[in-house]
Amino acid sequence: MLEVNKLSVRMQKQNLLEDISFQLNRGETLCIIGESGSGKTTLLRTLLGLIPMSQGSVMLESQVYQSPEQSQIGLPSTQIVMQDPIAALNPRQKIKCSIAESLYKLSLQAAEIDQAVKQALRDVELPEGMENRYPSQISLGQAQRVCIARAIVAKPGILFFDEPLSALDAIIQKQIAQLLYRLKKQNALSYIFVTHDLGFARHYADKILLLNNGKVEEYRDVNLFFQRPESRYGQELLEAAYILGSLPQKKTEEFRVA
Amino acid sequence: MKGRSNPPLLELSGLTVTCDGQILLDNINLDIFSGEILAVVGESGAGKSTLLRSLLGVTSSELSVAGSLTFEGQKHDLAFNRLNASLIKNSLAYVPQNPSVGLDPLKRLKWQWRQALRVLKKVQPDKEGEVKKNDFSQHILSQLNLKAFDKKYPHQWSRGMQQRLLLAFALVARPRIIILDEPTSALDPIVAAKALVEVTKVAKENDISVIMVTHDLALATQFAERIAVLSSGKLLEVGTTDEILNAPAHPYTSNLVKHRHWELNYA
Repeated sequence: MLEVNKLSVRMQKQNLLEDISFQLNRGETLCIIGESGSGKTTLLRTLLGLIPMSQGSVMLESQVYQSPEQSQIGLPSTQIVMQDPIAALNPRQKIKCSIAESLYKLSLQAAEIDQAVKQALRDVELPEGMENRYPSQISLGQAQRVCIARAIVAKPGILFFDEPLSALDAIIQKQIAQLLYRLKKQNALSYIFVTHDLGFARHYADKILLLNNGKVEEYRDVNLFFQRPESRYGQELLEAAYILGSLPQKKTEEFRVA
Repeated sequence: MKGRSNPPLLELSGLTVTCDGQILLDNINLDIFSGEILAVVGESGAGKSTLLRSLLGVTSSELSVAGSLTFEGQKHDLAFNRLNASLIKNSLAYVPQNPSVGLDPLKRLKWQWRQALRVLKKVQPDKEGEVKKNDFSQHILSQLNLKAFDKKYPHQWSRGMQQRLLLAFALVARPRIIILDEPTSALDPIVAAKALVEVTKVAKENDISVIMVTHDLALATQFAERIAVLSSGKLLEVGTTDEILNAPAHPYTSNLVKHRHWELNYA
């Protein structure tokens, strides 16, 4: 449903992204990994239409967006969940208004909007009554659930996540991951994660896109990548992850989401 | 483990920190032995930073600190720790989480390095600013792969290099204890892994203790010999890494151990 073909982004004579190509099918999860400055977030922003592409094309749900004329890709079939949920919510808006905002474009009745907001909150397992609170009155994990509710309420096909778990405690991380997995199954969503957590990528992704200096270092099936990275850089990265303990030393029996 | 018959190098006892009647740290008793690597693990809000700050004597004035600290057999009252920015500051070195806060952005790196040496009075740089060969400081620089400061300013170095330089600052002071505050969070994994391996090696060689404060239990188990688990201001347990991993005494710890990697099933 998403096909990126030789995408390049150039800004102030610097190549931020060069020749990025990958595909994402319905229901698949792609993890974009790489160090800071490798272009992970730039790629995400480009796919959301926030940064104009210089070259290449993006095909989203059989519509082709080409550079440089058309760079307003993204809406309405994509949504994003950011790293810091509190910063992503308007502090002066009640939760229900934040969630409803993505529905205003769809010319719905007030009652329908209300209904959709309530359903979204149920979907992310937040208790009744949460919709009337302000962001400062809820916890970080709850706020991230609100951001997810806001993203799914408009029924997108692809959800983008920019380090959605790194601000959260380990146990909350796992709960949110579980929630996301259920939502994905229920709604046949595709996910694109930008993450530095290799343990999460190995656990959660179907495909891995490894970026380094704005170029694709590797684009492979997750199991193949973690069994044996092809690039020198990929090998170094894996080695470091083993040293730092973010990948378990001995592989516990290879777990994959069925 | 070695050195267990010796008394601990540093002993915190009854450390309690309160703020307006709210207890931030509750009766913490913790010791560290010479040359050992101790990790303090806790989630956000557990009191890791407060513990560090009390040890360093840099708690803010609203907090009241009680308890005592015994260092090399000498007992100090922690209530007075703040007056002097730690009573044992010559024996402690602190490496901040974010390397850019530890360096003066307006001074050349070479100047900052020489200044550190001057302050420490460990070596006198000669006119060219080159320190003598086979010096400890030179050894540290080469161990951490730091060469050629040239005429660079901090912002011209990568964060990884800046962090290495701060580690070098900490090591060259020959402290008894180095405190690493979230040593990996500001760095990319390849750089972080190398820096941590190097600094723990140099610390071992020189019998320097390391206190590593982190939220990442998996990281702690890779490097630390003992782990202290902190939660909501309480020290739940302290044990060797093996004990914590295989026989955690507290349910909170076993939950943390269970969730340290991504292995859960969604069924």
